[in-house]
Amino acid sequence: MSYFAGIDVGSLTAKAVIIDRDNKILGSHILGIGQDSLKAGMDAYGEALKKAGLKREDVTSIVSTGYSRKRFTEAAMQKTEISCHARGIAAVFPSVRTLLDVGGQDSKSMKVGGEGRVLDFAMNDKCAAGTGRFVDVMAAALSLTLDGLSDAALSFKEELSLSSTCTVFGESEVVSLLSQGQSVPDIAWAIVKSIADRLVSLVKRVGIEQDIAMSGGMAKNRALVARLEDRIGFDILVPPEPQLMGAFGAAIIAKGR
Amino acid sequence: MFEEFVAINSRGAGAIRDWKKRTGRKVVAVMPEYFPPEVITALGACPVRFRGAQVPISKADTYLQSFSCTTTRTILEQALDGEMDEVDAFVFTSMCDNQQNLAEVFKRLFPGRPVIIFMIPFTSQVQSRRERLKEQLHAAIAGLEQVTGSTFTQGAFEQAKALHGKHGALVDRLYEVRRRNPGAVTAHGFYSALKAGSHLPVEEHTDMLGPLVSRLEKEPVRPAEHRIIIAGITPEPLELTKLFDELGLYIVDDDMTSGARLYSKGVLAGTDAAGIDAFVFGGSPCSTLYDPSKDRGAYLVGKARASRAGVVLWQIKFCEPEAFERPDLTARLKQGGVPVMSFEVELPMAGFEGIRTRLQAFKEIM
Repeated sequence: MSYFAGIDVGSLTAKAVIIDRDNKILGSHILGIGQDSLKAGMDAYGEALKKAGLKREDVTSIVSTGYSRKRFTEAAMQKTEISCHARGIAAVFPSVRTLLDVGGQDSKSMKVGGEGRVLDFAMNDKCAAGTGRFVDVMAAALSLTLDGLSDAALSFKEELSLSSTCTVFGESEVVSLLSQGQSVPDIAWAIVKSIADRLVSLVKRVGIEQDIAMSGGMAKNRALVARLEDRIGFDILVPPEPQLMGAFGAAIIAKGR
Repeated sequence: MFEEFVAINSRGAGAIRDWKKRTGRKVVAVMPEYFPPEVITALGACPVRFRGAQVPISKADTYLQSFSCTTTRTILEQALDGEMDEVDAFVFTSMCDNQQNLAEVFKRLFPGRPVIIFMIPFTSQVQSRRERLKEQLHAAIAGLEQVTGSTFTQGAFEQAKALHGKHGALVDRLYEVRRRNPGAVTAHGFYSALKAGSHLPVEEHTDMLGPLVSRLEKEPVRPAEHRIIIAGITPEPLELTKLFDELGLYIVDDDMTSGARLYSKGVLAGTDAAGIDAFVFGGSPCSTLYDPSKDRGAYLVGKARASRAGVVLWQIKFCEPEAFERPDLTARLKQGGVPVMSFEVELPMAGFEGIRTRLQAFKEIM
């Protein structure tokens, strides 16, 4: 039996997935990066192997992806997360033609063809606006977890807006709104609207075509997905483990080698 | 093969400092393009260029807003750091608002050194444009005569044209050898070789280019699957070109103001209205020149198809002329079936990982 691995080392987390010839996920693991991205990736890979009940020598081929993909010399190939997320999502939802991947440090929109082939893509600029980092900082300003921010946003009562998409200025605005006595759910919703509106612009750069899916850690934020669906006017498909789509896609590419 | 060019660039304006010490002649900076360097050479001076650099910006922020383009800001920083101390006069062209304002800042900050402004008209009236350009050129020549203490003569002009013509012909051959065999010419080497000419007398740069071009022309043809044309103002930060080499993206041609656009103009044929107009508005289209008779979108689509290449729009923060054209160019290239992507850089810039991802993804979809 042959097994394949995908290792996705992003800006905040390292993800590893082991699959068999039928794309069945046998083991996966997600770890915080800490100070050493290579170690985090290898540790995530080790844990995924353990969960799959496999050893390193059982794996036929590895593909690495994510910001630290170059560091994995053990990998047969390094692919961008753009290609890997598209391949991963296409294996889960073959009908997807537009994909939005919102990670910790950057966001990407992709126009996807058959079998997860990327036809076009757009990325945010290097600032944190429109990325998971923005929500991370705002959640901290509200003393909420990421899940807590999503839950709070869904129970908003009053429509507030943040005028800035800049993380630094946005945080100042959140502090101001708190000092004005605005409720945490209303502020949380304003944060979600702010990032969602920026992401809609990113998706429009490649053109919106159904079906639409979302991957990356931010796809777990139900409030964000709801706001995006409202703005785009279509449902958004979210896989069960959106954070693993890059590593999953990398493993599928490894299988195809 | 390109080491000596890289070494010159690593010294900044060091080479021109040496030349000035050796010859005692004047140095005139063209800020940054589209003033004919033949005129400066004919007056016995050396034309140099400053196109932005990888220097931390601190002093320049006293005079320029943070939303000014980073090319302009780093040029000013270089001047304030003493990198232009050898320059006796500056000729600014009105390529963009930032550049025009920089000329005024230079007038105030460096009062001992003449600042000559070569205004390029924005008008659809070709005849009045030509007359205005002629007036501008003659005024600039008069100003440069004062700076150099020399008189502009037809004989000296012809000699200068010959020198720059020889140099331009070598640059054309360098471009041609890369079009024919992009696998043999690294992006970093190519643009290092061109950049070294910014800080060298034309005859010295010509002497260096000659052997390089001859050697490259003898190189066996190497495979170069993923072909790219870069388009923008200037390929800075230059280190970024190494990423193309590393990723196996072969730059086969460019549409850069400091590159193919500049050299497409050839030499200034004459100082009359027709001559200077042909020099400034001749050659390929440019985002900084108003010329309704030219269509940059069609030009780029044709160039990309001819080279079987994708196009990378190399945007420097906040270069307005290039930024204004980006959406239309992107759409036109896509309509023309040409793969296109863009990225934005600034000066100085240290990390290129985000751009690495974009370029690699572009290669993967090409």
